[in-house]
Amino acid sequence: MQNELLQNKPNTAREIDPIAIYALATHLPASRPHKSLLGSLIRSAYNHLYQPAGNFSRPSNVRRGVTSIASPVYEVPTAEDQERTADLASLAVGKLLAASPASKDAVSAVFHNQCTLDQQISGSGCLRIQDDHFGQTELSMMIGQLGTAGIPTVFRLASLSFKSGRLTCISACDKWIAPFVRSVPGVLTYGDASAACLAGKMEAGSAPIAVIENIVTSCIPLPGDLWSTSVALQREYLLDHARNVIETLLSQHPDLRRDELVLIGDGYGSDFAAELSASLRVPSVPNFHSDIHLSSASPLFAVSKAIALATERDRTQLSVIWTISQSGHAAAMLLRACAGAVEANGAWLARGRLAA
Amino acid sequence: MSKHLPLTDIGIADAAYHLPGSPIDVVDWGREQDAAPDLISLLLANDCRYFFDGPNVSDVDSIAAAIDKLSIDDADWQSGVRYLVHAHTQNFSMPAAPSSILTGLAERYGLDLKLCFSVSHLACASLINGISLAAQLLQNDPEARYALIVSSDRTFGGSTYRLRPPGCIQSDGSSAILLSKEKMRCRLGHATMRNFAQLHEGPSNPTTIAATARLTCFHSIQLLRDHSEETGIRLEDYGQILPVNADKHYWLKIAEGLGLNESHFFFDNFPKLGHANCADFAINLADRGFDLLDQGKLVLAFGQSNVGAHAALTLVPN
Repeated sequence: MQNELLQNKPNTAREIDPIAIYALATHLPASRPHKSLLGSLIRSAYNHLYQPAGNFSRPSNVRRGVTSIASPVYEVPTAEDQERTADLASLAVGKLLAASPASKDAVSAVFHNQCTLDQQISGSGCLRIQDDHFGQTELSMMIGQLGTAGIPTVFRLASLSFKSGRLTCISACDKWIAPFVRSVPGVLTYGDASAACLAGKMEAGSAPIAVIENIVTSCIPLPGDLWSTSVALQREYLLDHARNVIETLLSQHPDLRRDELVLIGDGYGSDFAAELSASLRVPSVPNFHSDIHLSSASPLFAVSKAIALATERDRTQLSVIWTISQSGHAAAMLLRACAGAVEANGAWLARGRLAA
Repeated sequence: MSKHLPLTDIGIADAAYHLPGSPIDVVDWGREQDAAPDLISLLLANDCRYFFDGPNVSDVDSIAAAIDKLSIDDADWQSGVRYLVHAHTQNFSMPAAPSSILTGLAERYGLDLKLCFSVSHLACASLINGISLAAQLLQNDPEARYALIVSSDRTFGGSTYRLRPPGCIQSDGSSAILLSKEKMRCRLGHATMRNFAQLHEGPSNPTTIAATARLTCFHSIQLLRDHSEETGIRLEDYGQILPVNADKHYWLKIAEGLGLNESHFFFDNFPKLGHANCADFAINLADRGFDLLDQGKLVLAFGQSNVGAHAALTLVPN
């Protein structure tokens, strides 16, 4: 499979201007036990999927009417039944602004990212975030169809409208509800999670907590149908794609010493991370959960982890943040996490910027 | 034409759409569905009649049917596409997460993409937001020749959501628009986007339905005035304004509020096709806009929504 993948090189449209992250917050709901491979069973959600149009929006390996597939008990962060995806995202943005309320008026754009459906047929997650926290913004939009690997693309798109002195709020969340598949044993288990950050231009005198120096994205379809591809093939494909996109990023920075970098990525398990680390000769650090994929918010959790590492080591930490989705999308970001960030109530920001 | 008009170097090489099956008459369909006769009469009185329903087609297949209708003076145009942008109105109109419409299309057409993404949660204003991002990416990239913008919408929720009284029948449909730097049928002018986020819940309960009904016209008028101010083009100077194909009663109020004649808006597709959400942009461009542009007239495309998002894009003869 590797040779086939390498025929399709990941792309980066051009070298990006550095993207500064000024604050970042994460939110993990409490862990709950599950005994089904499918997402949480919420009887009032997704009734529309069982009408004819739903045939193309349900996993093809989950027969109509099936809401549970037995599994040994496992625990993952799980949103409350009534908690909608927009609630999760708004909660993370609220944490961000509670730590840094002065930033609120500087926000001129909202970019939100998720791959799961909200449990209500109508409504807008990005406009909910705008309305809850920012009133008027120049732009708000939801960026999707990138599986769980959308955040790096969102950074690229957000940077198109960065303005001096202004900030962009970038958020991500997912909530897994039946009949969508929460766990594929041997591949991954998704947790419900959300995260948000404030990003903008690198400006003189500014105090970012991390800087994205480069982004490489890749779209290489899984050979075959996702719902019927074997676990072994999926895992091999995911590993090859992740390795391919990270190698492409590193090839654009030949001066970097690999042993001084760290890899932080999605929670596909410690074996997956170890294999990636060994083949790329770059040390790996586990994300918040090494065995739980934190869905679309995962890359922001990885950025948070890199900032924690820089703070702990009291020095700038160069990291490769990688994300790879079963959807065929993958990305890698070269991140410079700055020492001197402070953490309070799940939010990171520069020292001296914490709300009184 | 105003000297203030912000112009890009990007234009539309072609636009095409796909509506599944044959047009369905809401009178016959309403009878089969036991829809209230008063409801059907109300829709007919508001210039609604036919619509399209394609429950047996996936989003990727529907979009492919639109792409295959594009007429591009470059046999190998697909190899020059570097950006793929999807937009949709119907939140549920997508494959099961984490699958992606984008990878489905990339695989089918062998696209060598630098970036791809989908814009949503802005309902029918999503498409113009997507075009705006794609145009910026294309303009900033000297090596890229084309960006492909696609949409697909399938209506969920049975007759409750299919029929949006008093003036809308939702159709299933898809579209494809090829943005280019050369051989363009029109050039992209300025885009104005405004989001009135207090309507974020959409028409999901009586309170939000009432708020949407009360505010949508007002917001559309505000956006059109802002767009006119930003471009320096008077609304009277457009050959025609292409609305989304829904809610004629709103558009008549908007026309009145702006002091424009009803004929200044293109309404012909309302009874014939229904409201195919994001595809309405390509539908009205292909059916009317290109003719006007070929005559040297400016065209204004409009994306309106029921979640508070509004967008307008000036199209300029090349």
